[in-house]
Amino acid sequence: MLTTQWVCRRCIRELARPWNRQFLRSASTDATKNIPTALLRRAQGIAAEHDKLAAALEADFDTKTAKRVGELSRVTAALREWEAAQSSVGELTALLKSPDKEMQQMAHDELALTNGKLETLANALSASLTPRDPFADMPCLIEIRPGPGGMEGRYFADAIFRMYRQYCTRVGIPNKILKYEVAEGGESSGGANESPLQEAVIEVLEAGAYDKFRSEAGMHRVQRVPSTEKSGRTHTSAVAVWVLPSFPENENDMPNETSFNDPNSIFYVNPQEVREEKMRASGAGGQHVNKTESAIRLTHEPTGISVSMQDSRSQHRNREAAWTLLRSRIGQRRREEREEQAIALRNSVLSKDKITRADKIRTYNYSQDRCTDHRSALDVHNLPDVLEGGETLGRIMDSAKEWLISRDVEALIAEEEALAAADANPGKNGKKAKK
Amino acid sequence: MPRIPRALLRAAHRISPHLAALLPACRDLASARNELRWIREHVLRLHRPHPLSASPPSSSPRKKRTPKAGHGHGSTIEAAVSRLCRRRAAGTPLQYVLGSQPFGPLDLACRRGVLIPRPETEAWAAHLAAIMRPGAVAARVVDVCSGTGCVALLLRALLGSGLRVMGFDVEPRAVALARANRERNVKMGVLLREGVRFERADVFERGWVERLAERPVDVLVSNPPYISVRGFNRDTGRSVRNFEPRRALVPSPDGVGERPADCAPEDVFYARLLDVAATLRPKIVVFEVGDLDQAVRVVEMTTRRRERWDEVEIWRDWPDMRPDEEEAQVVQVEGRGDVPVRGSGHGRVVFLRRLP
Repeated sequence: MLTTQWVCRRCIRELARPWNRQFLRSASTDATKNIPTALLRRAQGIAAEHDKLAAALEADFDTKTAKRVGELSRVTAALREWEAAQSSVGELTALLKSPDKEMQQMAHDELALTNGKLETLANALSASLTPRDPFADMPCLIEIRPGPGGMEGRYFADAIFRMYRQYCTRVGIPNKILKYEVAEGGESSGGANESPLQEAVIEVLEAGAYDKFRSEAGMHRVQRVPSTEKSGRTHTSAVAVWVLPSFPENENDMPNETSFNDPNSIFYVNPQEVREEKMRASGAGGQHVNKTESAIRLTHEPTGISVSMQDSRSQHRNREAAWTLLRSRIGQRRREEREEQAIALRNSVLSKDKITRADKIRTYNYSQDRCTDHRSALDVHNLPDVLEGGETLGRIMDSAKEWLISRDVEALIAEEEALAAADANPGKNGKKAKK
Repeated sequence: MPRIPRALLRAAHRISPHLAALLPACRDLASARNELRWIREHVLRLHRPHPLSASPPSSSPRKKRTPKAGHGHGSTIEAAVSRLCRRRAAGTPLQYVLGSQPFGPLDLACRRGVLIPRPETEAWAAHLAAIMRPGAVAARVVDVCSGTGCVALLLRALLGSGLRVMGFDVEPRAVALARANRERNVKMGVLLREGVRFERADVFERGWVERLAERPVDVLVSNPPYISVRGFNRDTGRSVRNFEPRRALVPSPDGVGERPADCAPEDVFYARLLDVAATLRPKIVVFEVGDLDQAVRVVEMTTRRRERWDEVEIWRDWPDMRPDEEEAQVVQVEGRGDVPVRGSGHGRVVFLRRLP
């Protein structure tokens, strides 16, 4: 008898039916289904180019070609592995038909194993095809700012700031605070020792930090009863987190050859275009006066981006920090402009999911002890651990990153298919899609 | 000095009584706020080592926290903050109240009796380091009137291990403080102990130059006292006048030897330093000066002495900043013609260079 007391009629009917054919088919050993043909075609194209270039490289060494080969080798290696697994699946399937009973059994076992492996390889292949973020190898800046919503947002911004800070410390990533500005002179302090944060910037100094944190950019929403609230109502406010690529202190560590002194780099800022405002002693300056005013403000005139810094008592330090931040912001802005076209194409295909700074990406709900990532749809509990930058935060960050990769793969497939369609009927349509 | 409006005082008091206390010394709300923040950070750092400071040394000590401990702890912190605010309100420079001033990557201790390093000095020293960088490998630098040791230590920190720097000051307290500052920054890991020496010396003493000339000197830098008596009474800030050593600001007429007839009393150090430069024959000479007029006077002094310098420049307060429209980028000097003036702000530095 069934252990359940009650099963609905529709379910019984569903269960009584034999498994439908379609389901059986997709569970078959035909593993090519695991990877879309569009992607496969692209991978094969890349592998062919890789082989050609590698051959050319043997004859005559050239740094540019060598670099390109290096870029392509990731895809090629993934494709080779996948193909090898694929062919062994073919052989094993042939063996299944052999008259030898023992052989048949062995092939059967082996096949199950290889099939499992094939799937991970297919995933790896599609991930390797997605364009690697050009800033992936760079350190990053994490900017935290309260959204609209009064003091509560500011207090929560401090909580977010500490969350990332403690996460870095726990994982052992070197970081430093570039800016930590508190509203109202840091007088009042809310519950849980939070200060009303106006703006904070953490510089994460490890190479590859940008890749690690880029999925964190967006609006973080909080739902809780503020400590200042008298009648116990839950408030909703938001904190904006931006992740900008930054530079290693030693310029030679630059992974992408994107030196900020090179006028071609998107991080290059012409000093002529930057207006600096700093303390101008009204009197004679120098030994005559001893002003502690060290604030500095940089404005990049063409874009209107401005940065102000007054954390340190040393004007020189403020200035350096301000330049770092300005370069990162300008670089990010230029890159967004550059990618606008690509994004427009993807959006026309996907019509959703573009992360902008305005989208809410995560909710921290205190009363339910819950943190939800809206993109990967992951729910975790144990909010205190999240806010202390513990394992749970790591889990959320990983899920968000996975989501980001899967989205990239989807976009890639869409792009490839659009291209293929354009190739199939070259006409007005084709030209459009090629762009 | 204009009176602070009562409305402003009230507004400050509403935010915090400390802020209102600081207002007369800081003159405006924004800088009072900043100073209060620095005082608070300083007190918190003293009272409770930062919980995250055990993490990698790069983690900056800037972050401020309200203490978790009970009420007693909080009130001792408040008491300390209010004590420091009262001292600051009485006019004591913030650097003496907190006992330190950041200078480039360094953190320098400051004590009564030694001039506090100025941001302008920081700017030109950093600019000088950038100019020296290509050929700095084994240069020998002499810093006269070294005070806290700021210029000597900054050049050493920015220019790497080959550099030898010697700092001289007539004030024993300054020499002791400069040595302490070297140790302090070595301990912080931003400086290597080797290559910097500080000694007591009187620039006007004859034997000193001859001893120094035994070995070649590549760079001579100095931030000597350069304020005139009139300027001291009229132009200096109250906290400077009342709390900083007059000896580091105004050249005293005693013990400076015979003053040349064409040399103003506030320029005696430059006359002497140019003599020193004539003996040591350094490749680069950098003097901080009070204003553009004084800079021009110093350049004139070099031309009167018929010294051959290949490059003569005047730097303003911020030598690498874009000049404002009304700031002249060139100045006429008798006997020398046009002298380029770099950067923005008041005339601050005379830069002389001999090309090899």
